[in-house]
Amino acid sequence: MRQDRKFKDMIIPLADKLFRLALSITGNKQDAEDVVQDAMLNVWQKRNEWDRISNLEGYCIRSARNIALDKISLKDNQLVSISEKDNFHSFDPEKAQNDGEQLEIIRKITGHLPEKQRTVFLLRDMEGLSYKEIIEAMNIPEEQVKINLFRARQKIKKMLEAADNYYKD
Amino acid sequence: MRELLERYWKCETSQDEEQKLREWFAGNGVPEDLKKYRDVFQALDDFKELKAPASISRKAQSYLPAIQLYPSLKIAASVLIAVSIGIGIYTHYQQEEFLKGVFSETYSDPQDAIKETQAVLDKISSSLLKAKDCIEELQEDSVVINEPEELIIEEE
Repeated sequence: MRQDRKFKDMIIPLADKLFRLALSITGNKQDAEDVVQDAMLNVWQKRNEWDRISNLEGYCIRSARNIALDKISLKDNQLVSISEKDNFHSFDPEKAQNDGEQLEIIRKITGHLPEKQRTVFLLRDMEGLSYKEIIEAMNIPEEQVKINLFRARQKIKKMLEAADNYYKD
Repeated sequence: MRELLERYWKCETSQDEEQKLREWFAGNGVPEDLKKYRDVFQALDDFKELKAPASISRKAQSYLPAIQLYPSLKIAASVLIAVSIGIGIYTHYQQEEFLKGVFSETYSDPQDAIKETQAVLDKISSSLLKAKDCIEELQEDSVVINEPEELIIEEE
């Protein structure tokens, strides 16, 4: 009964967060949906091990991320890292806004980042996770969390400045 | 806020400070030269609006036993079980009483039973004697009726 309640009250409500993370990795909603369903089933099937897991939310995020990465490596998806040239010069903020596609906009802003940097950036800046929570979600040391976040923010800053200069000229 | 923004790029801000920055960029007081950075915060806010399809929650819910999904089922099931047991006990009790009424002895003392039986037999006996007297009377009447020729022969 305790496990049932935990799954209902803690895990199922993570669906939105997991879906956005999966979407940022896979790039399409159907794949993202499959990823989250697989992740939830995986977590449910391991419910007898929950007592040994210190942070269940982090475990869920890690599970979803791993499944998403497996999925795109199987599909040989090119969204893991889009070339910097494509993103620097193809990013038109006004056009992206008018497209009305949240996914398209976020892809254009973060698509040029390596997956690890992008995931750390989204977990921190979009989902509002603490460094400790990101450590548990990605199973990487604190130092790596900070380095990846720093590099992600610096690249995004440069991209936005370059795009701004490009469209002003 | 400029100083906060600079610290943000260097990852020197806390979660609360980053939240303040997001709120500031969502407002109308952003200077022109900083508006280029607004897009990233706006994009993050917009992307966060995305919700997972309802099918995900529905499927996950299906892993749970129905009784967890609908707690009132627990109460209903308990009441049903209690009522069923109650009906079963009552029915069994009723059957027992019926059978007792048919087969059980009504007298705890055998002597009382004998006396009662004798009294019943006496009643039956006296009834039979009365019936015999009636029959005998009827038979006598039938003898008179059987001698009509002798009476008719006598002439005037």
